[in-house]
This record gives sequence, structure tokens and C-alpha cells, in this order.
Amino acid sequence: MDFRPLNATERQNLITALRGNADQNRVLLMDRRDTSFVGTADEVPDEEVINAIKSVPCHY
Amino acid sequence: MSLPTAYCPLRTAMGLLDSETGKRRLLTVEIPVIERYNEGRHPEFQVRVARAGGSLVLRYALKPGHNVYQLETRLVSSYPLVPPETRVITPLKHCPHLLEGQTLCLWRQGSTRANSRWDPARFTCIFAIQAAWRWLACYEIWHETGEWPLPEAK
Repeated sequence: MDFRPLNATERQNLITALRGNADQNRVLLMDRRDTSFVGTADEVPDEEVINAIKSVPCHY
Repeated sequence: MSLPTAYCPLRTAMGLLDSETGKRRLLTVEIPVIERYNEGRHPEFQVRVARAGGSLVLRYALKPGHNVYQLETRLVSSYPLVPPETRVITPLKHCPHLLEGQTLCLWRQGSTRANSRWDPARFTCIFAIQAAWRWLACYEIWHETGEWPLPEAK
């Protein structure tokens, strides 16, 4: 794969979002069409939870 | 609920899980959430289900940043008691939290309910896809910074 990196702003936004997800249970929002990152939220309605990463566990 | 044509192969794969409980789980939990996940999604990013030996394999693509990754999540015969196993098909650089065969270290693969972060009562195969998305988002950051952005689980 010809890896295309995030630019500095995109990277910082994503880091902030990931840490907010881990530390404050903020929701990570995925675009419904192509799963790209579109932002964060405090809560999401039930019908959108399938595109929102909230209480998903991980080992790392 | 009728299944879209794309899922017809799944009907023949129901016998992959040995128990009635497993079959019921597929029909009442996993298939409906896969259908919901695929609604309105570009075909390239929809989940496809295939039979592979004694397992069900979900094949899909994720794009947390600018790169598209091909993945597969395997629901083994003892699923959901045993967590799903997810690996990235797209070649990756060697990085933290990546096991043999590019399997993602998500919730202690092969662990039991007692010592796993995976809870079959609460999670579905879509949770595995979401966990993989988050892992890949971390990978994209690690790729540029050399640091995994999330702390180790306690």
C-alpha cells in the first residue's frame, strides 16, 4: 500500500479524539459511507450507534 | 426480516456453529447488526460474509484516515464465548499490538470469558469491526510518530 499519512492537523484531531474516547468515553464518529473519521460527540442516538465507537473494549 | 441477496450464502453457513444457541445468536443478533451496518454504505466498505472451514469470516474495508485497509474478522465455532479474531490483509509495518499473521491484539485472543475484555452478552461482531477501526486509527498515528496514542489496558 502506498501509505498516505495524515497531515499534522488531522493527526492531532485524531489523537485528541482517541484519547477523549479512552479517557472520557467520548464517541468517535465514522462516516456511514466509507468509515472515515468525521469527529466526536458526547452522545449519539441509538440509530447511529452502529457508526459510533463508544464503549468498545480493547486490550491495548 | 428478509436477507438481501448478498447474504444468501450466509443461510447455508448457519450450520457452522454447532449449537442451537449459536445458530440463534447468528439469526437474531449478528445478521441483523451486519444488515444495519451495511445500510447506506458504499459497497467497497460493506461487510461480506463467507464460510471458511468451521468459521464464519467477515470481510470488509476500513478507512480511518486516507488509507483503505482490507480486513477479515473470523467468528470461530465457539463464538461468541470466544472473542472474534481480526486480522488486517493489507500489509502493515511491524508495530505494537500486532500479532502473528497481522492479527490485531484487541481483547486477548483465545482468552476465556473470565479473563477477556470481550463480553458476549454485550458485544457483537460489529463491535469487533469498531475496535479494528480504532486500532487502525492508532496505527496511522504510530506510523508517523512512532508512539501508540492510547495507553496499555490495565
